[in-house]
Amino acid sequence: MTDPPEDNPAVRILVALDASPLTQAAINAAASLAADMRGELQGLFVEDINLLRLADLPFTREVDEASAAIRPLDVAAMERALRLKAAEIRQAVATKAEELSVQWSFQVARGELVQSTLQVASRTDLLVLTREGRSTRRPRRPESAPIVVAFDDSPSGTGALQTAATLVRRLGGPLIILILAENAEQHQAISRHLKSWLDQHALSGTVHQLPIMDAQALIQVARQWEGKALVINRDCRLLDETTIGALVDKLTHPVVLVG
Amino acid sequence: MSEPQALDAQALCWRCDPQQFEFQTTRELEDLRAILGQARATTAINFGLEIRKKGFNIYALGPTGLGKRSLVEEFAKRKAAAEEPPVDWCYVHNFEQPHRPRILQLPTGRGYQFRQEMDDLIEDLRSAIPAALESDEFRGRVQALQQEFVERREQEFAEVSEKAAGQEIQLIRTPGGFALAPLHEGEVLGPDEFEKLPKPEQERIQQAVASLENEIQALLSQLPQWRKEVTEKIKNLKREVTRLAIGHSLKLLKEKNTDLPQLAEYFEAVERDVIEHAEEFHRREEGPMEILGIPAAERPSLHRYQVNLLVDNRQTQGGPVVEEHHPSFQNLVGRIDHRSHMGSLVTDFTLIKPGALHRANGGYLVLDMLKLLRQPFAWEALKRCLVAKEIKIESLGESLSLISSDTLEPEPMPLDVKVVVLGDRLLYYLLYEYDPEFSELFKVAADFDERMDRSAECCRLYAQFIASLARREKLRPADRSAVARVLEYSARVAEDSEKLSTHMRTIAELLCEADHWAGDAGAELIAAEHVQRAIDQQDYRSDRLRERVQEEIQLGTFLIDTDGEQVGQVNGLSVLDLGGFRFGRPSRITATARLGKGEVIDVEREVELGGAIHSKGVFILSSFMASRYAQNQPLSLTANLVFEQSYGMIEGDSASVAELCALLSALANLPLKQSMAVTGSVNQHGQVQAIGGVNEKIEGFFDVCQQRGLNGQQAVLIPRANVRHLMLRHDVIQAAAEGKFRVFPVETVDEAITLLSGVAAGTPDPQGEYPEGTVNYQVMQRLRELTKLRQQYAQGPSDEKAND
Repeated sequence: MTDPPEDNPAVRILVALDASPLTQAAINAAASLAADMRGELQGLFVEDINLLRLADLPFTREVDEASAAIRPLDVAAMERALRLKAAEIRQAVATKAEELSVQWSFQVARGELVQSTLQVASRTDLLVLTREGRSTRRPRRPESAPIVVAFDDSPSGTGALQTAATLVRRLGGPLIILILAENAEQHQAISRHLKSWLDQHALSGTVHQLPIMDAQALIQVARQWEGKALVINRDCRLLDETTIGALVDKLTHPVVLVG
Repeated sequence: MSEPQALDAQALCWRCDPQQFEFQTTRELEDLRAILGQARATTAINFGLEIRKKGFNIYALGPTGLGKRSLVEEFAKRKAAAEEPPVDWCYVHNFEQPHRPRILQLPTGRGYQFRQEMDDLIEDLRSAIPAALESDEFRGRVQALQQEFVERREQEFAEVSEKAAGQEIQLIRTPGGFALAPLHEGEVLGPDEFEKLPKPEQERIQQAVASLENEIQALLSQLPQWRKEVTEKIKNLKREVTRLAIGHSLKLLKEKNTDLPQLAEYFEAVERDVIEHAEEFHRREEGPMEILGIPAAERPSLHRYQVNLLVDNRQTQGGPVVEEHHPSFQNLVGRIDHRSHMGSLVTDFTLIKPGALHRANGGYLVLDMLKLLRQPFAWEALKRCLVAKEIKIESLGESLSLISSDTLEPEPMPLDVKVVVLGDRLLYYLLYEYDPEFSELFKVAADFDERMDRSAECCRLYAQFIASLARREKLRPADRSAVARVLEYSARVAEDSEKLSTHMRTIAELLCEADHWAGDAGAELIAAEHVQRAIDQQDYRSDRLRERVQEEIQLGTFLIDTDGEQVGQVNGLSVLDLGGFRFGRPSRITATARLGKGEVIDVEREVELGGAIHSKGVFILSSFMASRYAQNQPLSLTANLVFEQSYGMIEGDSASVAELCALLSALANLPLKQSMAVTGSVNQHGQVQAIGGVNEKIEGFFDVCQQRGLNGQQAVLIPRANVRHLMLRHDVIQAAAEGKFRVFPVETVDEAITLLSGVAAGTPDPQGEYPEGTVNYQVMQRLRELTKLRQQYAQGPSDEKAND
């Protein structure tokens, strides 16, 4: 592990994962961003408190996914499994970071994924979250899967665009821009701003509009794309902790929160 | 009995009169269309080439240089030119049994077209299949199928999840699978909270969890089946898309080849295989394959749609006539090459290479028998193919377990070929005797004769042959004197003044040399003197040993007398044949006789320097002696016969007359003329029989005499049966014409001994007694003396006993 240089207030890219099957995509996305932004990659493994609580119940059993066998579950076994998972994720973060020559660190927290991440993260951190713990969906991501960015007129909206452009460059795939606008006037204004920004950066992307300014609609539209990542700025009006949790739960791809 | 008379000079050689020819030079003559002197062989070859039944292959037998090869080739080509070119043959992949490539027979020229069409098809498919499988439509449909699986899975899990939620239980992912957590107000219950629940509630939760676990277990058990169903659907979809993508190209291909039903089945197999392995076309877009970091040369999988055009007859005119000069096993039946891949040897049907039998299929194959037999397993392989009427390509290394590698068993090619082998007679007779299959497979023997009759018509044809040869070899035309001299030379080669040699290579070589000397002399035509010079030069280049022998005789190292008389000594004649050059050499033969038990000892045989035929000759003369002189008394002598100064093997019976004369001289104590030499074999009745090399023998003795000076007394005694074989050198004939050298034909030993001794042999009276003074009388007298002596010695010891 390497520590970030003290004189460099570099962006920290925090990739938060829990014990669900390892999503290399989230680590790849985070590491790519860190490399591009010359920031630090921080891996955060959140030991889901609910799992430990569950394991402590006297009758709890686990249905093995591979063999469909039912076996008893206890706290010791669960902690062992979580430690192993943490070590596995740490190794994956280290490998990718070294591959891209990125400074990296790793830490383990216990609690709920989104809550713990938000507690650990500073305001300027760029967060990459993924979890399949509450979902039974399995990720399927072809090379041509897009990078989806939700764009509104909030102050950090341009930051989200830049991050999405970085991911497109690093990971490939088309750029899909989802405009979050309350009305037609706002949509036109955002579109003009967007066009100017795209021209300035010599980028192209497919532009869509969120039909209703609603968190559920955002989740539903984002699920349709099955992209490599959903990029959204943290000060987006639609986001609160519950919405972030729902996005992370419902999407099979990483959610990138730009500070 | 009258004394034999010396032969006239004219009888010593046939002289060809150039005036008999109507032409001045061979330029006036047309080319010879017929084959000279080989009527029997020509008929046989014509018959053999015409008949298309199994086993009627041809063995052209005879010594080299008779023109067997050119005659066979000319006849085969002439016949093949009138035939249709044979069909094409291809090997293609066998999709059911890849190690057994299939063979396809196609009309002439269609093999190349078929190969091109298949190459084009592969190129088409290389772009069409990836395009189809990369299309948005296909990917969309695949994603839809996958989504169907995902949604079904999600749906099932959602139902379980909802059912659980209805019972305040949450389905939750663990690092290894799924677990069910009881909830209270949205939070997972801890053990303390659970303990606080009423017992019935606890039991309800536990029962609900157990029930849900079973449902999840059942659900997970179904997942592989669902996944398999989706995979199968995707495969079917891929098949449908691929079938559509390749359909047009294949349809065109099939339409182009509707007249070839044998291809229809192959195209169906290709279509099935392409559909099943469409991903191989797809993967090709990914660039070269690497194994352990080593780039593989090329993905081999698409090779299987290629066509190995084994026999391409699109440019063949008429039937094929193939001559294989190196008839090894592989060159005959073809081979299967291997290529090195990652350290091992691999092969496929594209590496099958044709042999001479493949190329000659439907036509004619010409082989040299000796070369064929010298190549390991080649003869057996040829026979196998001819018996089975098919060519089966086998790896020799595999069949002998010399190598172990990837190998193939290609489908055999049906064989219809006429094989003509060229070889000498010995091989023919040996094969006929010892190889039972030979007579079944080579039923036509084309026996080439080394000689032909010397009729006026034959001489005219010979002249035409010389004209053709001169034109073909770009030689100067020969004038009629040269033709006459060539004919004389031909008769000499044939060793018969009534025959001509058919050894055309010898004649051709002579003419080439004569042409050179004509050029050397600035002549425009080859004349007799140029032919003579060529003959002389050929002799000169080869006669080092003959000259040395003559020199040693003149120096007295080899003791040969050419005048005077000696008892028990006679000049015999032998022939040395070295490197195609034959020359005669006189040898002194001596005989001694003493009291003994009736033995004639052949010293050569005793020291194992005499061959079987020579020994036979000595036994015959012993028998003659006993028959003539010991009818009523024991043959009480021991005689020794020696080839003086002979240090090598003596073979043949042509010295038996000389040996008998020497023995009779020794017995009768009668000197023999050393100015004469004798050749001929003798039978038990004392008749002199023909021998070989008569010309060389006479010339050998003549050369010795000439160097010492011809005196008119020198002569050679030859069997009368050999007179027709006389084709002596001109200097010998000249000497004979001038009376300086003579050749006597003899029919009996009595004639020979009479000439050699100058004393009559004598004929017996009715009582079997010979007249006094004759050779036979003296021999009889000596034998009686020896018998008497033997009787005395036989009685001697008993008398001594009596005295004791």
